[in-house]
Amino acid sequence: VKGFRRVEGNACLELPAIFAAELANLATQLAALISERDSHVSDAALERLLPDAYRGRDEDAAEFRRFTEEELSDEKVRGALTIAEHLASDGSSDTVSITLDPQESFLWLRSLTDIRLVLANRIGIDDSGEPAEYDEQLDYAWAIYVWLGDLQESLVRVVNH
Amino acid sequence: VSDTLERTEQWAQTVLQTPWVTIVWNDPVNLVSYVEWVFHSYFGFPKPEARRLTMQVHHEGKAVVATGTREEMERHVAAMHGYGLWATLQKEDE
Repeated sequence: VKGFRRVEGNACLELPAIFAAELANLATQLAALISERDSHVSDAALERLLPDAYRGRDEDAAEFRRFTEEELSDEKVRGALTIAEHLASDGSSDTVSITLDPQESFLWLRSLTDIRLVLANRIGIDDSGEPAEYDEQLDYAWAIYVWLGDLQESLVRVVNH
Repeated sequence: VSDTLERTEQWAQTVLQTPWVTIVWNDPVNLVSYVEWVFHSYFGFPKPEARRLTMQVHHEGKAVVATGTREEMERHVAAMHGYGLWATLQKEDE
């Protein structure tokens, strides 16, 4: 699958519909994960998405969270839902074509990051950048994770042009 | 006169305080090229400096990317979290 290309200042992508559906599904899951989060249940992926701003200063961290978390999480949810919308297909073609202006590219880069952060947690990516314990059940998720890394890399290249 | 005095005192209080820093921590997920782009586009670092800081995060586990008042650093940290980077703030001498 090819990545983003630069066309007249925009970032263009053609995806097989099945890939587009997979990414849209992940984006929707991300939005649900964030918007339905329960602060009493700890989830390392959410802790990474909405991290403490202070280390070893619990009160300051809580205070910071009180003032910023809602805006930050709303923004992440909006970003993920926008990605899902861009990827929506009417089912009439086996490919989905996406054209992003610079502002949309900005949003995609941030949201792809969030999706990759959650996926990395779920597959148990360690400091080596690979799953700590690999088993065949991870094959699919790992392939998606690697693909999303390549996709993001191609979009960084376009915006860096 | 008292107004000026007060303002001078306020200024002195701020200027003599230990500065705060924004630290970005390494993670095995974010792409080097992406982190570099964030440092360039958000902080406005020239590309070579953005590259240097990114490599410092990558190899040393963290880098100080900004120094200033606590309020400024809180804004930067919130922005970094928006980009999905793992950032914290602390006093410079901590």
